[in-house]
Amino acid sequence: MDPWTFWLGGSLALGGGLLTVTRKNAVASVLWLIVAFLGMSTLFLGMDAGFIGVLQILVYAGAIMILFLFVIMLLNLTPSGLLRMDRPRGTTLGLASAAAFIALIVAIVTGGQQWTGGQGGGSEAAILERTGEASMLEGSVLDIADQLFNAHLLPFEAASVLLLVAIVGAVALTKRKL
Amino acid sequence: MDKLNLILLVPELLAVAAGIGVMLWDLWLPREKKIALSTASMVAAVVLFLSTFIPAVAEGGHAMGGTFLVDGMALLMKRAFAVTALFVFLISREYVEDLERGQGEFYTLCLLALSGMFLCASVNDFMSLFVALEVVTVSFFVLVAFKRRSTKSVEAGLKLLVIGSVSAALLLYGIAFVYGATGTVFFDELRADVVAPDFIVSTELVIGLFLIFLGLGFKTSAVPMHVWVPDVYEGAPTPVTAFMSVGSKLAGFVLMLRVLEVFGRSAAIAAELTPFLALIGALTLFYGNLGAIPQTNIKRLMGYSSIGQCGYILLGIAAAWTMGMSGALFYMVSYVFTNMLVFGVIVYVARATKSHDLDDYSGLARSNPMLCAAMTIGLLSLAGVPPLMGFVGKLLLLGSAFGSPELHWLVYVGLINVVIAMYYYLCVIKRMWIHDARSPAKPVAPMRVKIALGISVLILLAGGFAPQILEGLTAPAAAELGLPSRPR
Repeated sequence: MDPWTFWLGGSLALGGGLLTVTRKNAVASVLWLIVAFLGMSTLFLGMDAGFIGVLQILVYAGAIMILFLFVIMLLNLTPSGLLRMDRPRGTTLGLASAAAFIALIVAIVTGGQQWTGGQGGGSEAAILERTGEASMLEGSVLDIADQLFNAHLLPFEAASVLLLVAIVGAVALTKRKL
Repeated sequence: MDKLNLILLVPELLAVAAGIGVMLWDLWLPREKKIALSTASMVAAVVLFLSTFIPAVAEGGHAMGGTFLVDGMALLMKRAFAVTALFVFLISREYVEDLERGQGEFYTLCLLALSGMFLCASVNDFMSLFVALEVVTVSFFVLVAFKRRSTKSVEAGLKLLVIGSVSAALLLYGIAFVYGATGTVFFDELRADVVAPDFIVSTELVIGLFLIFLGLGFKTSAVPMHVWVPDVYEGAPTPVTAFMSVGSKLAGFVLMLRVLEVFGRSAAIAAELTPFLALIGALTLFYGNLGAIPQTNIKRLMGYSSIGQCGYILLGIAAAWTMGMSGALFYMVSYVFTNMLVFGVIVYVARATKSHDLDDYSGLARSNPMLCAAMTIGLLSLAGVPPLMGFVGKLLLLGSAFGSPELHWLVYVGLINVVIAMYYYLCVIKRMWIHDARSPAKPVAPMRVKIALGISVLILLAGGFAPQILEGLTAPAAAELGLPSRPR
């Protein structure tokens, strides 16, 4: 792994984690946890585990953390529980992130020219040639599936029992009337 | 090696099926008939016990492409786990009947925890080890907090959750270190690797193994991962405490034995592990036994006692040769009957007196002589008094440590602790036989529990008078493990 990627991902993950546990406000903790996950994801990408890196963002930062936020907001925390977050100037940050987002889109649209209009064009053979190379990368979906369903089939199946236990337990502990 | 060989997994699959079956049947049963679930769980435990005798299972071998291993130790421990679960179902019937909700879930979680314990006995790679252990741990998070309205129960559940998560992190960190040092998580490959002449014992590997043993030490209540034990034992529903003090503890131990068996083949690794485990064992012994002395609550007392008992098994594990393994297995099997005997009495005394004070046991000899006698024999076996099974177990463990000259100090530590433990166990016995009763409550146990307690007493006596019967089971299982047959 490129040392820069390592230090960037590592410090994001550790710093985010540290801030997660030291924030008084639960919402701020969750937001810093997303930063920590971005750091983890950078590390995965640096190790050529692209699929896991993307999953880290899609599933953890995207889905689970949003669920956490919903839960915290539904908990009806007392005012003392929801301390005011000290937030820097909203307008400036908002404009900056909007600008970054637009820059990103422009970069993708202009940089993406070679995929559609570059040499080889969008013919089936050309796409196959390019994607064929990509799937040879270590950490592709194929490799992960092979590991999950061949070498690590037992823990994969046992994890389903673990999830069942967690679901039954959560219902048994929280439902008022069973 | 590459075959699925699902027939070997029959006990595990049956345990999961039983758990799901009880959960589904619960949906159809009207409230007043829920007691049938208790009977069904007892039958399930017996069937699971018998399923380990199916010829294809008892023959042993590899399954799931080598990540699942059935050997003598796995079979013996699966039988011990099934017996433990049967005991728990026997003594929890009244407790669960009184629950206003979640009766089916109680049994479901117990059976699924049992399936996790079965898996623990058979894991053959680090990934399965972690998942199997978590199945057990997560079930107990819920079972401990099952009395939702009781602050103590919920507090105990939370403590277990927090410390359990920390220890799971330590375990994973250790596994990551070992994977980094060796490049594999499969025990079969590791067994071959560690004995190779060019194998280098790196610092990373040793740190990883230390972390793994610390993580497993949470389950076995070894110092320094013991802090949760007294509080959780006190707060949890008593049948759950009984299950945890035996089932979950032995699941941790069987994994310790497995990891030791894999890495202890290499004399260089064993030389690193032995002082570490011996130190932990000595601290655990002193902490558990000294901590038990001032206790006034029987469940807290049993919590400290279970820490102390863990220390003895660590003696055999630290010695890391066949006799230590055999002694540990012997002690674990005897621990099932001993601890279940004591908890069987505690459950029914607590039902009558509605508390867990040691004072409740004053005058038990007059209010219920049979329970009193059973409790006395259980405590004496825990203390290691001949001619009971606990004595033979301690003898084997101390003997195995005595085999290696650098562990002689540990034997003296063990002997000192036998005396300390004798003191607080005898204090309870004195209270039961000599003191006058404080409360008019008369504990009664139902017939099925009386029979189970009677059988346990007989087994404890038989194990003391004829230890060769059980040793005939543990010695071959230990010999199969591939550790040196002589002390190092």
